[in-house]
Amino acid sequence: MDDGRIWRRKKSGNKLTAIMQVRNEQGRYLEAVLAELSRFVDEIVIVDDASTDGTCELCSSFSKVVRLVRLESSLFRTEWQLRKRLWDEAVVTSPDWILSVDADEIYEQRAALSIRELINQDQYDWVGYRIYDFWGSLTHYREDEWWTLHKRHTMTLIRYLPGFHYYYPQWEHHVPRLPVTAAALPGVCTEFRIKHLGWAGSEADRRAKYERYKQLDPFGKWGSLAHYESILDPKPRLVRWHEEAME
Amino acid sequence: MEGDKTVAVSSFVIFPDGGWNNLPAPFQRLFEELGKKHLVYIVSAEPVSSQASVAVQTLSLEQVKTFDWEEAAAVVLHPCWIQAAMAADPKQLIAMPDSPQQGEPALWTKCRKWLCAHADLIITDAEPYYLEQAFCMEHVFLLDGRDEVTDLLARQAFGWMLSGFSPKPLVRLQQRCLAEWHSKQLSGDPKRTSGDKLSLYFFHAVYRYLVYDLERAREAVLAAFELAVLEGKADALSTYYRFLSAIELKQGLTRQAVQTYSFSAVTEEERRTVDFLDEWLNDGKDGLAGALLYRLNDDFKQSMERLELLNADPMAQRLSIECCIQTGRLNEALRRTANKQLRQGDDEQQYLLLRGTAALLAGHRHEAIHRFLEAAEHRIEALGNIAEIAALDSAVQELFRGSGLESSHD
Repeated sequence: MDDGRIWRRKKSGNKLTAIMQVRNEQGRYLEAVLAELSRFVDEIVIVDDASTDGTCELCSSFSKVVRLVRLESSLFRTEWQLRKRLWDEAVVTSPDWILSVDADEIYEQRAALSIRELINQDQYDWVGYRIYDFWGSLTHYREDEWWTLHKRHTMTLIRYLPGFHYYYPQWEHHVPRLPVTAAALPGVCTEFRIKHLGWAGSEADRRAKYERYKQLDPFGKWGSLAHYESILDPKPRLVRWHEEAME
Repeated sequence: MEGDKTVAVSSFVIFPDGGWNNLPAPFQRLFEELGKKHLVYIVSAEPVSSQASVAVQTLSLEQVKTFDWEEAAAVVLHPCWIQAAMAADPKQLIAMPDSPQQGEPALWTKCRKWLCAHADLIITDAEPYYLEQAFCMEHVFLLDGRDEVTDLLARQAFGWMLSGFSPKPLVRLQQRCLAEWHSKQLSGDPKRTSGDKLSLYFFHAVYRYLVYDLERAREAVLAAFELAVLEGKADALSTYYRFLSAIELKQGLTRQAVQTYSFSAVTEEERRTVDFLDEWLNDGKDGLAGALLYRLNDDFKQSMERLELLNADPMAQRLSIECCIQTGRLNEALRRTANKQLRQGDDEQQYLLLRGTAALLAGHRHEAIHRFLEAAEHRIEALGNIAEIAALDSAVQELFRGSGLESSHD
């Protein structure tokens, strides 16, 4: 509104800011994720949720990380507060578009290459992607009764409209990664894919995550107990991943 | 009508929707109560049963024409009575129509709009319709039996009107009561479903807006918007979020209100409207931008108030005429379009249709038909208005015989 006009959507020159919350990610996928992100976003904002390893130092080694906030005590038990804190930290950097990325998510090449085209327009305000849960390896993703995330679109990229009402539901766990009210704005769903590697590690890693979910949400208040139990399924249905064909 | 009129009357004539026994219970009680001080008539072919606790005399359609309306009010319960009631030129016109039904004939919808626009007092038993009218007209009340005080105020308004006092002070009082009622509901039953909560939050926001409790209106509308999104409502942005722009406008934050509206503008047309609003703000025409924005939020009353202050501006005059037409204020629209210079293209046809309809409502059928024929020279569709006169006549006959009209008629 600096020129006396109301704020309007920009068709070009949009700044793309990735936001990420991290906790004890050293030795996992974070370095690869930040390296990939650094290739196609303009800035990165990170909230470190009281890591006790070298996560924070790793983050600060990337020049595109323009804001890194280290929490003294973890907000993971009230996840909405953690999400909101990350959002608030991102907003002060005046982003045009915000890409929410988990520390174990990789955007496939064509998704990264097309992102400028997706944001430099004035018709829609969010973009949906398909997220695939890799399981036990980097070659297969899981697809069965409880593991269907890739069957729908997940809003991970949104335009920041200064003054709009952004709201996170006050849930303790499984809080949407971006403010839910953004979904009321016009959006576009793409067929671009995101690799979620959080389940791609060893069985011991998955069991540890299972134990953590059960501890945080023993009665299934925030998620489905059957979904939690399915993590331990000894024979999940796995589908081979085919890399994109690049032109 | 179309102005404050405070003349006492000694009787009132009910133009019913399906006979005395078909009256909604709160309305029947009200008429019986007021019948102790006033003479009560009903336009009906059937005598009123002895169940009525006051003497209710029947009038035939012919008697309506010769009745002494100098000291009588017409109380109209079905919109199709409009021509019969208005042509009688009663001292007061009180509208108590049913709320619009899905699939009802377009003629009824038009008649209901004209009826309410020309009424001195509107009383309804349907909350959404009450709110719609509260955004258009001055003296609007809800009488739906929800609680004693709210009902009492509506009954009081009717009584004051008949006694020659303006019910205006009671309007805000009832709106405050309704705002409090919604507050209580929201802080009450924790088991309430989110669907119930959504409309409670939204209506709460609207009542707070009406009584200028704007911070609370803002809180409530944002809560409604959040819920609407969580419930996956397709109109979360256009119904719930957009209303925030009206609240901000009332707070005097015109630029912010336009910005808020711009976020809710999704269609090409809506985005073009944002261009206009932005341009007007840039030209310092904040009043005009505000007037249009109120209208985009269906608040015709606020819009008209703003436009009155800008009457010298040709765009303001144009917007005023549109507001009058959209709210059914035919005479006011005619007065404003009397200047031929203000009419262009299709406006001429609309002007003739307006004149025809106004003549019809005043009981001048021949003049009405003449105007509709003139309008048909511009566009043949205008002949439909002549067919509507016949439809209205037959509806009146049915209503007189005491049979309620089927809303599926077309």
